[in-house]
Amino acid sequence: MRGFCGKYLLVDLESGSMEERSVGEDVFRKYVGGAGLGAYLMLKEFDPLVDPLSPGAPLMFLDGPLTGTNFPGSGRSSVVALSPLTGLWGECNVGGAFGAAMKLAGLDGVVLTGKAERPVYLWIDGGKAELRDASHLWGLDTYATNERLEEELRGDGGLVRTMQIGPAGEKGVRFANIVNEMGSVAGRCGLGAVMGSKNLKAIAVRGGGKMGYAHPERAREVRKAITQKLENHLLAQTLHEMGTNGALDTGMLSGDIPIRNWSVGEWMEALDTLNSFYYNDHILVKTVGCYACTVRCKRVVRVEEGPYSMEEHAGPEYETVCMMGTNLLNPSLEAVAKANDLCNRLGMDTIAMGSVIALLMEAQERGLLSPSETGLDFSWGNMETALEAIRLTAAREGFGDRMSRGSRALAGELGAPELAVTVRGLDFPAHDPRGFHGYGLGYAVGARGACHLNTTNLLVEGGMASWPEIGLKGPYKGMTSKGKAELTWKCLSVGQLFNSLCMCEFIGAFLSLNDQVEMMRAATGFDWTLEELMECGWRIWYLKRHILNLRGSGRNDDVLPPKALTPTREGTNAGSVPDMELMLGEFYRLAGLDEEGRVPPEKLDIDP
Amino acid sequence: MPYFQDIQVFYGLLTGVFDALMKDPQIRRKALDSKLLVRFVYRNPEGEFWVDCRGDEVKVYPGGPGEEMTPDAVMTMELDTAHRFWCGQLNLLGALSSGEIEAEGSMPRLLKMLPVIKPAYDVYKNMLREKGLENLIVEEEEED
Repeated sequence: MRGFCGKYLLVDLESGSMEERSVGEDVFRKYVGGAGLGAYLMLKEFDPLVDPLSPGAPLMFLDGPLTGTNFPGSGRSSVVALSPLTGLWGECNVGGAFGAAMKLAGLDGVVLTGKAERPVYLWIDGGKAELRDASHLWGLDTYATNERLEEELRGDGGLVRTMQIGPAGEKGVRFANIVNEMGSVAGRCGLGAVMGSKNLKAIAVRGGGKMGYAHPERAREVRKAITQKLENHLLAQTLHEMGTNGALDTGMLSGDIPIRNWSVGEWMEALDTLNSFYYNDHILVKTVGCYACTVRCKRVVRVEEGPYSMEEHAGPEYETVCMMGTNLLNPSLEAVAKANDLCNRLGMDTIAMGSVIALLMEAQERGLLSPSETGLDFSWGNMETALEAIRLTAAREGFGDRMSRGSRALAGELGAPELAVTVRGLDFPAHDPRGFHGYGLGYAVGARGACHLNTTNLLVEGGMASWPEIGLKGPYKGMTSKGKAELTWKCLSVGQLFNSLCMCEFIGAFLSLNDQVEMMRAATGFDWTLEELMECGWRIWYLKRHILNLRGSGRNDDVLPPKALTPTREGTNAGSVPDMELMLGEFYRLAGLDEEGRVPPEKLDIDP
Repeated sequence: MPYFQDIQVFYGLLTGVFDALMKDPQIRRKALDSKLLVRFVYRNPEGEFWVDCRGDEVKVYPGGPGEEMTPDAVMTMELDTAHRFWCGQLNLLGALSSGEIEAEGSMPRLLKMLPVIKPAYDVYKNMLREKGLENLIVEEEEED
């Protein structure tokens, strides 16, 4: 094993058969791993046109070449499938330690097709794999499922790492997520519903193997150097001390925060009770980190008492603080923590759930629906309603069934599509393109829809990263569209790379891209250059874009929603909207897309 | 050519900004809550400006405090960079990442100053207008 194991486990849940499929070095060299490998497999081995919830749709858990190494930031993995929320390409990049366990079990991934006759879980113990009955787990929340699996599978052979769905995934909520043992989530695109549609409750893995490096001595040197760099990096220190929610203060200053369903540009008072200082003083218990990470930005929290009391567990990230806080006009961090905990346990994406609640609050205010229709009072900031909405959605009970289809569908049903803030049906993350115009372009051309991880605009345009080695030194001004197409084109490649290397975007931001190259070379032995890896990034995006095209999505969907093109009247981004025509035109030229937004055949580097 | 030939002009502006801001009880409270001593070091022209939030009142020291003090954070930059920052036209994180601003000390504690900084932008620009220096105001500008 040196970066890659060269094989994945293919599981047919219908027949119960399993086989190891080999993957050649040439494939890794071109598509890297993780989501890149997923795009390749989707086109090469499966039918990319199937219904995402049909048995024939594949669900892939894939590692990158750095997963399982001891390089900080490499403890991540990808989940890939067609999205039941958008009907298009779906992928997630998830932290924790599951991916490392999979690699140490000798696999680059697990790919599942078919539908089991009854609920099952997949147990991989070193080199052995089996499907086991999961009827005793069905209906349990994600944390309870993890505890039961750990009890059942604990042995002498080391830790068991799990990925599981909650009741929302079982019920087919379109934005159900997949949760791992640390409360890290494969959150977006509804891939938990894909897992539920297959009657697959969980995957549990015990590694046991030892990670090898092509150049072990060089790997030690590289690790030492980047660990030192991270220790001395002010923003890395800040991320550790403040968590991802440290971005709330700077975001309010720069016009990045969604407020009142993306209708207001500033809410300074919210910082008093939602920011990281309040977080650290009131709910933080400890910080933890993903596999091999030295920064340790993740939060464990507890709310001792009151209506939002919750046991000690994973705390909300920045995205959730915004989508369950500022965007709902809710100033209570305790309520955000409770909503986060509930979503994690029931297995739903907090961004999508928060977006649904926000649009319902606006819809009620506008008189588009009444409390008697929903059974709930969706007044702004009413967190009792928000929590009940989460429970009803996960169970698909009453109005919860309508909420479970996601914000785009719900807004359409209400006759107010403008209330949904999505691209391709995927809700905006909590970063406002009116404050940073390039984000808007990144959302429009993102392979999975409105996504802040598909491109690295958030890092470069937002200011966390400076990569002069690819001509992106910065600092960049957010509220201009000029020059953002070229910036986004480069950031797109790096974003694809991070999701294929399975590298943490934050750690990636604090290092140089040449550091990433050094890690890759030491782990795999490939003599990759930065230029070659950038080509890999674009190659991978073309594959995903091609899948979008095959499913009927192109220029017609490269569109921002009305909210993002309506200026706010207050705050830093007041009066500013991205010039999408300018940016898209330049981007299309750089990418070589045709007028319909299709990938020309010569750009598709995949064997027929 | 730099925005300021004479750093005393900049000192006067920044001192005025802090005087004005500290009249707002909420902003004053937030500044004092930070309990920070920050040293800003400028180049071209050279100078320094200290902000002391450790006591009962916020004190500023244009040119330095005149006695030995150990700051919690030091931020070093071109004076032009500082001017663009106070005009609200600098991406602070980007300036830190790219090295346009060099920082030492506790960034998390510096974040506590952000609620003070936001209202300072308008005050600073108004101060420039009052002093007849509106030609120095940096507004939205396109990338190079």
